[in-house]
Amino acid sequence: MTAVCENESQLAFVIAHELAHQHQEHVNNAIWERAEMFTSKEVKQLAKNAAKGGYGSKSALLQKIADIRFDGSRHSRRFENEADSLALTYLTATKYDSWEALRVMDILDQVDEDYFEKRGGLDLEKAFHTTVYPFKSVWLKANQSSSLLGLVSETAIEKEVRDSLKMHPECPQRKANMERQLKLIGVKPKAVDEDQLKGFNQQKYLASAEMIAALYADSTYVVAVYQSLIMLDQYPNDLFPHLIIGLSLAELQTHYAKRIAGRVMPRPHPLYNPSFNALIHLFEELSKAELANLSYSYLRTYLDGAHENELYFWSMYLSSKIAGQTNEANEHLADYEWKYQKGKLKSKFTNNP
Amino acid sequence: MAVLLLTLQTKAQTTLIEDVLSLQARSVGYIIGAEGLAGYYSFYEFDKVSKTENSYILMLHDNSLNLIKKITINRPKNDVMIEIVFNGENFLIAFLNKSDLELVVYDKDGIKLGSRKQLKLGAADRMVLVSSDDSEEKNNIVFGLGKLGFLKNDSYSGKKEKYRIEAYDNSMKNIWAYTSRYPGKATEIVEVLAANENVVALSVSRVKNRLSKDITMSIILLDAKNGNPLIEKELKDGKAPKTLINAFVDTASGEVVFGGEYFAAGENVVNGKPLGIYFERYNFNGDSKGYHKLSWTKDFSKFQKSSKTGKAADGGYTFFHRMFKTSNGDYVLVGEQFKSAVSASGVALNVAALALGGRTDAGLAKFVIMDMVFVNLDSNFSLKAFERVEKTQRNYTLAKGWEFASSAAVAKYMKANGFFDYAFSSVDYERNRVFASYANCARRKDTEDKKKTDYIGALVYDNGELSTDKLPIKSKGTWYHVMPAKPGYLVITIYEKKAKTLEMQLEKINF
Repeated sequence: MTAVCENESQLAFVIAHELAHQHQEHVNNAIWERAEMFTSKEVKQLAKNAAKGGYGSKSALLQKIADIRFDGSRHSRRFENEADSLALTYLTATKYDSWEALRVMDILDQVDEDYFEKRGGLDLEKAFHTTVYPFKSVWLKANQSSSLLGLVSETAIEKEVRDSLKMHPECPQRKANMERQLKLIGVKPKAVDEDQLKGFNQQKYLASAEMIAALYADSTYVVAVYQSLIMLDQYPNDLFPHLIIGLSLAELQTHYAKRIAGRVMPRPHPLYNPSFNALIHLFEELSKAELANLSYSYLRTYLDGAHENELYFWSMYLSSKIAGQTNEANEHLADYEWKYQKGKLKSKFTNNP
Repeated sequence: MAVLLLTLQTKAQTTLIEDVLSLQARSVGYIIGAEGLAGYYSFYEFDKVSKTENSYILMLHDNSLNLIKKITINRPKNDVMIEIVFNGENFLIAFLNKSDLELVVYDKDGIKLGSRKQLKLGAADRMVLVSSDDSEEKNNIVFGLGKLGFLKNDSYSGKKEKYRIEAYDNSMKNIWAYTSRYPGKATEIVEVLAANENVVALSVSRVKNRLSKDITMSIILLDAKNGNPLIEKELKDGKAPKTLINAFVDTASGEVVFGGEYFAAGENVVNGKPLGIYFERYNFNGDSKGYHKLSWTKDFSKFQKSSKTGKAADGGYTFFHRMFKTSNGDYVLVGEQFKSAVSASGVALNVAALALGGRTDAGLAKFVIMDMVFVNLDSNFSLKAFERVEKTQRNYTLAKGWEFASSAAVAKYMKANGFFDYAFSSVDYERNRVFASYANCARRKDTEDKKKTDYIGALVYDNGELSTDKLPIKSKGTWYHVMPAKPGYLVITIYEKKAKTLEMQLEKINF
């Protein structure tokens, strides 16, 4: 949330909101409620019938489970309104601006939107083009998984079902509730503290970088690349996202070569943002050799003059290895071993001779 | 910075379906759409509704295995899904139950739009329906005609002598029917080679009686809107007969290409030996646009030594499974080499039986499946390349009598019964790539752990360069099935009866 908030007051509201859930024991209550529903006499009987294989018994059980899920999410919306209200009460006792809670609702309402669509689209050719290995326009083929996508028509019922499964009710409604409360309390907005904002922006940058590093460490390479492209849009001169992009390309290539790409590679999905789907399509389109060349050329183009940390050496070594540049790979390995004799990434080099 | 919705799987290329009470191999498959592969389906029994009815789930997945639709259909018990086709708007499903065939059209929301029944089919008909070769991206009975509706090949019957093709609209109302125009007595078998909202391409094999080896083949092109014939001609070059292997509809150029083998004048296509392959091109008005021939001796021998009748130096013939046109105008043919050989065990059994004063049905010949073949032709059908890819040979003993049949006849029989290793192929038009897959196994000496392992071989013909890949089958489950996928991929489905799960894996071909 640090990465999406704009100032400390907004982050403070988020923390206050979660604390309110904790203090009111919403989570525990929700678990109890859900457990009671699932262990009710009615559900037990339905399960017994299904086990015996009675006519229509499975359908009846699944319908009941679906009803419980809808009920559960409706109950949790009630908890959200309560947590919002209590969070505002907490905030008014602090130095933070309670009115920033309304801005948080705007942010949450748009958080799933396509970042690049609002900025003219994700230009993959611009993002991945290098003079050493130029981007090929054939990599940008039309959406391949769309043959049956014409079927993804949201009927009114389906839309209602999807909305009802959301844990957080509509943000505009929550915003209106909180605005009413703030007016009733008589709290006034506070002036922006520029020093605080400066400090927060530094934290925001670190949070973005940490998130990307965590995605890479979790082998969620495609999301790591996507978030890195977003980070580059906000911090164009930063080398860290370039490092993650080049390294993630190399990791994807090695997974393909070992035939374990299924563990790390997502599939295009109609519910993903168009930009994210476009990125997945690009990686699906690339052959093993193309991925290797892209990683190799990307890192050498963008990491010239980069700080030589452990991850840098690992990226250079791996990209050289998959591109067939054995001598260069050995040089990077030797440099790493000389500089980081007790390095944390030693095992990675050992496991990828 | 936007935070991505990560509630969906962002690291998985597998779809797992649970609570699958029972599932037959036929109940999982791919959906043929207007432009080829449209997605996948699985149709399985989910619940019992009554003594006579079950509840089935029809799950539809797109090319990336994402679940697009889950439709509950109540059908009579023991219904078997024979085929499914998607015409771009609606689905047609062919159900067989005991002796009744029912065709049902559903819209994209699973609402039934219409149906048509064919009652009390004979045993021969039912046999043909359930044993149709499904190794290619082509249906055998039902086809899509785009927004016009659907087409049914009503000629699978073993008893009917003449063929009949019927077209229906999306509510299963009959639009037109085309029946044989042959005036005399004959048994005719028709194959729908290609169908779309413009044309329907058929091949017809005709014999005067069931025992006759004098087969004539014809090609027919119908106007899909009204069933009017645009072309109807016998495959003959003067007195030289021809066979038909495949047809290819090129919507972009508005052409239909028929391809097959040609023989010497006076030859018989059952016993005779082909001299080469030919291609005939027609536009959608039925006008001829070209006729091209490639001889085994003059043309193919530049790339591989072969006899006048196509027999390669090592004794193999080539059967062409599919033909594609790429965006640069080239044609790529995917084939497989085979040969007939003496079956030592068959001979031994026959000798032993004779010695004991008896008989045996053991065949004397075996069918040996050899290497995969890629042939690249330019836009004028001149041969550019002929590539062979080695794989483990497989032998099948032929039933008695087949030892006297021609290579072409034997190959057709083997193809119809799914004995070739070839599984399917696909084309990436924009990148001029053709992908082909086949099922094979590695012999003990090929494997590290010395065990025989099944694998799926994948071949990639990329702008004239051929590369290969082998995907080992690690888990076979109760059964497994390999299906075509978007270019560069294939799908492996594994059913585990005990766990009642169906897993669909999208595998990328390494090249």
